[in-house]
Amino acid sequence: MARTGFKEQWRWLSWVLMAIVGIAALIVGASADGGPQSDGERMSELASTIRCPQCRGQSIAESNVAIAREIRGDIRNRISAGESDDDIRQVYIDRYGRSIVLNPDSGGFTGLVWIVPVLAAGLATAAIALAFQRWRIEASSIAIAADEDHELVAKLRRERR
Amino acid sequence: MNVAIGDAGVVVAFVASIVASVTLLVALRNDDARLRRTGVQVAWLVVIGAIVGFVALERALITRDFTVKYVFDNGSHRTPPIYNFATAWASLEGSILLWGLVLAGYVGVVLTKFRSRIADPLVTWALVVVLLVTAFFFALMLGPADPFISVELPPGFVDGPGPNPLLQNNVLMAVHPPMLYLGYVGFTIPFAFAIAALITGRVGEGWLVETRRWTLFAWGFLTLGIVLGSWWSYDVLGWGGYWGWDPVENASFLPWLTGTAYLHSVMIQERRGMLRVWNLSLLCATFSLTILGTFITRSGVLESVHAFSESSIGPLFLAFFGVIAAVSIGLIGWRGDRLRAPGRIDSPISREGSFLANNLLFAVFAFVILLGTVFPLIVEAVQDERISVGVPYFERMTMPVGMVMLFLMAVAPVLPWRKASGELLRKRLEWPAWFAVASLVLAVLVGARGLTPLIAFTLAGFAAGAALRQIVLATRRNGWRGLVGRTNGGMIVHLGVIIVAIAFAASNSYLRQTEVTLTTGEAIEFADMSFQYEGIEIQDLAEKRITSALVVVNGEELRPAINQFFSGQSIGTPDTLGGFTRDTQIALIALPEDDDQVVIRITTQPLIAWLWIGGVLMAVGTVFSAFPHRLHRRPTDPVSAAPGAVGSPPHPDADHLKNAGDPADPIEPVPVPSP
Repeated sequence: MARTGFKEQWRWLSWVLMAIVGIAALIVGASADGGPQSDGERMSELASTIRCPQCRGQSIAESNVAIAREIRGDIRNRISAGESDDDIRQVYIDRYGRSIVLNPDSGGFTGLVWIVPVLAAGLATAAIALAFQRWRIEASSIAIAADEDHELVAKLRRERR
Repeated sequence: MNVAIGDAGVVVAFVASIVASVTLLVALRNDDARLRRTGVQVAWLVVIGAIVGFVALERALITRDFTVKYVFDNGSHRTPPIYNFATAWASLEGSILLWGLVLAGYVGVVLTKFRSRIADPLVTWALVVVLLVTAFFFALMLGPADPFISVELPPGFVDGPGPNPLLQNNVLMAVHPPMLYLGYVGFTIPFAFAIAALITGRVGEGWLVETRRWTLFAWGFLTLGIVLGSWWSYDVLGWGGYWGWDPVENASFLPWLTGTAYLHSVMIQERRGMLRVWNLSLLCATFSLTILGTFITRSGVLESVHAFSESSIGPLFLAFFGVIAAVSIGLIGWRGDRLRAPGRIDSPISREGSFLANNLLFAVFAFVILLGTVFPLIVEAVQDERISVGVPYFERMTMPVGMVMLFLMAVAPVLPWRKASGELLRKRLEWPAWFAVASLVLAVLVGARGLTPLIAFTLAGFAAGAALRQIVLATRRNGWRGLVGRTNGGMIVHLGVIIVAIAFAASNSYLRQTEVTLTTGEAIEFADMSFQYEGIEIQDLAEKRITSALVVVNGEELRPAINQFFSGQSIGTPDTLGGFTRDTQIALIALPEDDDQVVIRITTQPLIAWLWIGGVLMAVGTVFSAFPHRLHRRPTDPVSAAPGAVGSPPHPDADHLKNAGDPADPIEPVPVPSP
């Protein structure tokens, strides 16, 4: 019994220790790592956000058709020429239209695809929170037994005996 | 000949499903036992018809009977036997036939399993619903998706083109579709029972208990089907990808999500009699989503790599989807009064509360995917503008949901029913939390960097700790029985999910890829490995020519190839150097123009193998959770309310005593003593 008491008492220490080790590891782990390392990898990353104009449902990075290879080469050249990711994407938007990028715009009507799920999640959470609120009120109105209730129970018990 | 046999099978199955459902309905109305027996006998004809149809198609394929249009379009003398067999589901008509066969198989199982209780209106109605769904599919085979059409062979005809090369390039294609169909179609049974419960008004917990295993079965196969499908993508597509958030992949994932939500929330209903409308809606949604998914796959309204077969069948599926949605919503609305359950959940920090949170997350997840998948259509309709919603969107939107899910998987299993105190949580979460920290430290030590993946690994460790805690406590108490039963088997499924999540995070975060041109004898270094190109090899098989480049990777020979099928198409076949810690995949980008030079793409990413291991573990866990934890409780015994006692959840206090303990106590509910 004394041992459990001891254990209980020091449990908080375990959690503190845990937090220290965890935060230290996170700091070490998260400090390094920048963006893509080489031009080639930057190209792959950019290519995966551009749709292949000839194939169905694949990005430039995934596809092997001629046009995809050509665009990959072009992106590589533009990267070495020092153009930014957004500049390069714009080139393809100008050439093929908005649907060439796989990432929908965050503004205008298209922006709804980003906002609506967040709103829906928020509303659903609020609805559940409200339900809990109501349940709590219900519970508190039911749970409190008045003196007369106790008396009633005691009386019934006596009678049953 | 094959056309005649096949047509006969399809017609018999169609007519029998209509006749059987009408007969059963009349029998139900007049309570006519003899008529009911006739109905059951006719229903068996559906099974026989479907088998005859499928055998006829296989026979036509195997004997290369090109007078059958399906074989004419998809068969070839050159196709190797296994792919030839799998050609039966390589194209639209055949896959609808496979759907019909699987559905008929389920009809047979229902007939066998419930043979002594067919007189129960709930069972009769469920059977009628399944038969009507079957009738829809066989009607398709009589109309727009007829697998048995005869053709005149053109003069000088020698051989057909064979199935789509993508489908005959990997053996997984023979396994993945049947698994997926067993899962997809399997959701018809719980759906049918849900509809039957609504129609008969027996919306208590009885029907849930009847269909629990069916749902689990369907869910397990759907899981396996999805995992095998992504394995196939990984082996065939050659850019290191296994999940592309493609419309067709999403279509298979949507019912999986709602099905998973259902498997969790159903436990609240069994125990507390709550969430009746929600659970019915989830089941109806799951089934409707399988139909909607088929519409997306088959109609070609959305661009997809997997849209192997398009046809005019799309609108019919859309209409069927509409009918199902309308019937479900209508019935739920009609039975609204009976579905109200007066229960309440005491605290958000409880098992019930966590199941609610789980359902919220799964619903949001499914909503994001559905919205992202159909959004291009919406924008086109509203603004007449074409946009794409692709991988970057899905990854950014689902990542936070996935993280919260992992967190929930850590906390929920240790929560007791009704209410948990802070003290209890601190005690029970201590070891899982240490597990989390340990996995974070381990990840940092092996060189993992970056905040997002590290948080994922930590949460995964946390969740794994909680699942292992449950399994350890349960096996210590009950021996091997601690591994079976819904809760314990469920924890094994959780472990599988966690492994998949870790593999997903690691392979996505630490993928390295490059595209290089190599001349014979040239070697390069990439990601601490050496790659040397040794030359081209050409091999001619019956159905294809394989042009492969020999690349030596750290002393191992890899042969990425391009297969040119004689039907004209050519597709890449990457080669992978696999391992438990890292996969390195090489793809030949294009046919070499001269023998001296090739363009290859090298993709290397960690932990890929664990995606499949985790997937298999999920399937194993599903099997374990289908076994009863205790033998003495019949699965059909009432769990929280007597089947007839509609709208009367157990007295809240009845739960008190048996739930006070650790969740590692046998969770399989003990029958509530009737007051």
